[in-house]
Amino acid sequence: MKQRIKLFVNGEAYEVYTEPNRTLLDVLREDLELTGTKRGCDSGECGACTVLLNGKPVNSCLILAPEVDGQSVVTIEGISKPNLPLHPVQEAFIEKWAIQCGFCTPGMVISAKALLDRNPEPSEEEIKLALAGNLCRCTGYVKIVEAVKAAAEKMKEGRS
Amino acid sequence: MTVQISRESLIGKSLTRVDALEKVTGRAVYGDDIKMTGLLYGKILRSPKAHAKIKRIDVSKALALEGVKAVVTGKDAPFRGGEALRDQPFLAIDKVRFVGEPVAAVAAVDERIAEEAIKLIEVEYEDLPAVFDVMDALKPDAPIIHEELHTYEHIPIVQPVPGTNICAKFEFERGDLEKGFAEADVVIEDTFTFAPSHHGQIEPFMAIAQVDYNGRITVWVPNDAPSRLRKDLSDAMKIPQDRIRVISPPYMGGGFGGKGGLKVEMVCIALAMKTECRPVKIRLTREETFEATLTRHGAVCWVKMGAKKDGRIVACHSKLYYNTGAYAEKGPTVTLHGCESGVGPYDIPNIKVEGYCVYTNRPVAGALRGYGLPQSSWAHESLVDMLAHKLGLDPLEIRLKNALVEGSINPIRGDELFSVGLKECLEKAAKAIDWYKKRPPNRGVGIACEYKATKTPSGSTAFVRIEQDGSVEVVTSSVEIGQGVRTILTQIVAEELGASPNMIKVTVPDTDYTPFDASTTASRTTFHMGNAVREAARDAKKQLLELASKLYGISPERLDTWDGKVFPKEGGKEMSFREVITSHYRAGLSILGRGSYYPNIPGTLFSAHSVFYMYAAHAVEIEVDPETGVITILKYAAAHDVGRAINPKACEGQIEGGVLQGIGSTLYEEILFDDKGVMLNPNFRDYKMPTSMDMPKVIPIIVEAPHKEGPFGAKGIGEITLVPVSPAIANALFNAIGVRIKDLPLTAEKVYFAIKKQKGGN
Amino acid sequence: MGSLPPFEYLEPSTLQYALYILNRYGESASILAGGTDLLVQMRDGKKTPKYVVNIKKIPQLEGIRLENEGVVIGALTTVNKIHESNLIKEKFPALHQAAGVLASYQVRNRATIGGNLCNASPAADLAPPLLIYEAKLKIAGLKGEDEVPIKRFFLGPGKTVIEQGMILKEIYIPTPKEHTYSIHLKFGERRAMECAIINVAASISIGDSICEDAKIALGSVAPTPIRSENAEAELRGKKLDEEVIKRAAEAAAKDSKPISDIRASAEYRREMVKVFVRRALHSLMIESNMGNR
Repeated sequence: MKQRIKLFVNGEAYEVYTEPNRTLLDVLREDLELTGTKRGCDSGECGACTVLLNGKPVNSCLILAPEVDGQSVVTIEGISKPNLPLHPVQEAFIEKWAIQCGFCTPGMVISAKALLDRNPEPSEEEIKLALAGNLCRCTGYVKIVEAVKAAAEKMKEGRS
Repeated sequence: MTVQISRESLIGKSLTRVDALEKVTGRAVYGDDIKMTGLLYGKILRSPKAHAKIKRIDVSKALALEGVKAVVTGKDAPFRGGEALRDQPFLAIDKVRFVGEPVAAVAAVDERIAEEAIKLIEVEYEDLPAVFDVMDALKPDAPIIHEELHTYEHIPIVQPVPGTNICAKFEFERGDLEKGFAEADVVIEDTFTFAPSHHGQIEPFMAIAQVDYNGRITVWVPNDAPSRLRKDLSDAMKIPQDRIRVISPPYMGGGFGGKGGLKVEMVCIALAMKTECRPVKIRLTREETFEATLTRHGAVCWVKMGAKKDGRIVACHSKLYYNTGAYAEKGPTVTLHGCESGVGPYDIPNIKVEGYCVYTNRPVAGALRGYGLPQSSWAHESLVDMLAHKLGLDPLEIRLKNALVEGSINPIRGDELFSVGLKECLEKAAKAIDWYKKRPPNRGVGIACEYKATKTPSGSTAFVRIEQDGSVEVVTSSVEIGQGVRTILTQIVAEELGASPNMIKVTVPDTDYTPFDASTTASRTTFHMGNAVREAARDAKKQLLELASKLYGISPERLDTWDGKVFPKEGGKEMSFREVITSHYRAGLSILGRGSYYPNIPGTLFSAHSVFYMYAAHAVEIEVDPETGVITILKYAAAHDVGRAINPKACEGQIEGGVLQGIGSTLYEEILFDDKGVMLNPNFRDYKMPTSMDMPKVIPIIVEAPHKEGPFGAKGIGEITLVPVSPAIANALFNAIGVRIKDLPLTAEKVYFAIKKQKGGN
Repeated sequence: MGSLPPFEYLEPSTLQYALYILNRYGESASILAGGTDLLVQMRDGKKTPKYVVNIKKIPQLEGIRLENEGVVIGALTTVNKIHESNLIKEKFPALHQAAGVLASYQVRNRATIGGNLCNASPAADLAPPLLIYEAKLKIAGLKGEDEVPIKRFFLGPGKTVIEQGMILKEIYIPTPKEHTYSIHLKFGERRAMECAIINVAASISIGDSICEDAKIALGSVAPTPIRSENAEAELRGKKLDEEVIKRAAEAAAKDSKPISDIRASAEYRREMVKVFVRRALHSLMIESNMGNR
């Protein structure tokens, strides 16, 4: 039986009419056409579908659509808007070559942003731990970890 | 007035990726992001049996389900595909040969209906004896997997052996092997096994196919070789190539060799032929991606080496057995390339290499970063270490003593080698981890090196178009898989044309518009397509300067370009590309430069010696926990001779990524099966790929031995970055605790029991 | 694996209503807590509930509070919330540690302590710490509430004492007595995202330099997470030294009844129990020596 759910995504209110056996990932990609959130494994193992739910990073493939009724979601599309400045994490990913195929990148950016929001000066170990749920097969993570360090620096400068 | 033009070369500069902004903002479009009007969704019913006759298929209930638009089985699309040998039906015909093989498929108005419908298809099987082990499959009484092997079409280099499970065999022999071994002071031999592994691209497989009213087929698919896919489909379906159009989605989420050939495309097309012009999309689940696309070959490798007391290797004999699974795919040429590095990057006068590509009832094995070398290299690089140990020599020094150098003769094909940076790689990698330092107990160092060929001959074609507004488009069929090809081609064109990189865009492949390119594989693109776009840029520049010469009233030779502008070499007014074109062609015109590259080496596909060779040496320091068997990598140095690094950061990225992928398949990645051939770990939970927590300190080292024919001296890099990893770590394990393991992966458990056995316990 | 099968979604906002639904629908209903296990099991076809009952809207099932010389953790408290709680970190370090190594940060933001226990995986990360702290599980049913010591909670892989129509409400953990030291060690092939090859939690209580009490719990070595009573007996009443610790570790290995699976062989698991119990106790011994100095 279809259900009406209301959710707040990237600062906009949406109403979706959906069967309950669909996930937040399905709703984002198929109903709202926010395809920046990627489907990699559909079982919470790769992190490509990471979004912020009420400010916290979660795997959107592990959440039923009706569970997010009335809640706030930020996807990669909500991290930056065309013609506006990028988030420091995004800038650092570009500068440090932390991107190859790009399929894990939206999830990585979300996880990295969430880390820096809760811990503005993470150690290398803390960075690696925070990204452990985001698999990347291209980069070997080296430049991704460098980028998160650089983003932390940028944000520190931004605050001072 | 004299114009000051800063002409700092763009080659060797780490420009940021041209696609980075789209990717980091989530706006880059991948295959599964594409929707279309009238789109139907397909699902595939797969074989639960490893080897069985199909007695009966009844699709009537599926067809009757509301929302189902088409159901197909093998007989609806009686075609066989395969780049090297055409043995693989679009969907199984009469029998199935591996668990996961497509048996039937459904197209429906949504994916859930399609999923429901395939459950309604009834298939009756009659079990056939199955064979999974590569050596068992070679036995005279082994079940034959392809009874019709003698009827399959194949490329000339591939020679199947009908009546057996040998899909292809290769043999290289130089010098006098017997004499070589007779002259040796020490002879050793051993057998090494290599476990099957998976690409683990984060983007699962997908395709969309549509057959229009004229019967022309269009396929949207993240395939690493659109031109080759079109040819494969045309060969399989016996229709002209122009009846097929292949379009790459704007981006592709990783390939590593897996996203080539026919994986989803053929089932999608079979369905689309029955859906009255409606497009059909199939996207595979993660499980299907594991079970039914491609694996790296499991292998058994036997190597025998003979050396003089001083460490000079005088003879080497290798026998390599690749488990290619149910269908040939690229298995034959994977085997061939494994053979081409079958004795290592050493100047050995007497060699023999035999390679066997063997059918079994495993899932299809094919290309995975390294193309047959991870297996062969695992064997000979382990054995060289064992040889050094036996002779009391240092593993680095025995390699330096035998390493190929400028002017060496390729031990396999006999061609003279140039652009050989191997010794420098060995020295720099060893130095980076402080090779000779004395280390505390349970710590050790290991080294391994390799050289790799690219497929030869193969061709690339490109256009460089300068538009009226002065913008530049590079028209190419090279695929951006993540390696950074659009950035590299942008740099080459910018440099050659004298344009600024931000004026340039690189097309997404579409076989209707972008010209032929063999493939974005084999680490060939920077070299081959780099040469093609460079020539096209040169041609465009020539035309531009001819126009400009009329405007300036001086000969074209006295003009040059930089940063999107034309200027007289002796100084004077500069004109933008746009000004030159519009001043001359007031009503508008494009300048079209043409370029192509085809090496001047005769032969058919894969038959010739390589046009370039990549060289690499990896050195690693590890610590072993003897109580648990856990190997911790402390420092990993990887030195690669790339000819010339067009973009050093891109090269580093290839090295860092390849090394960690290699560490995965060395330490824990392994596809596991039950005794019926069912994959036990077709997901990221149980198939363990390294996480960010597993990333060691990696030191990428770029060595440049320029290639006379490469664009600005460049060669390639992608594949070989993974190749030396396994033997380097296993050699370090031996160095650390004196345990030699010959079967991958080196799981903690395996190491633990090996240590225990060595201590005489158990 | 495929799409999620169809089901009816229910979202009771009181415990009573949730219990009513669960009793009414019996086996055709599944409780949805964090969803990190349930959704995967449903996609794999291992569970096909007609009704999915999301209990996250029931307010009193979430949160961490002090009560009766101990701490009460609501069953719906997320693993990250437990990991990030200073109270837990100070009083129950082994639980804090275990909560920090369960799957990924994203999963820990959804996965709940109740879900981790009720899923009853032999490898459940939070079970060994709760076993050594002798947690009590409050289970609600239509007929009232029941309190079960965690030792009696697990019955087998995927099986607990919770019957159809019951809900795990909260977990009470008594504060260990003074001079108790505890630790959790997880051993897997990778350094993150692992289902453990083995899990070990251990605690020792020291009085007059003597180990007055010891608790050892093991995961992934039996059909359920277990306590190793023989190992504990080796320690109790003794002054800890390497020899005592070694004997305890060997006893723990004997108490283990592991199976061989795709992650490890039974033999290797037993060997690793020896190693990790020893390492856990060794580190507790050093910690207690420092604490008593």
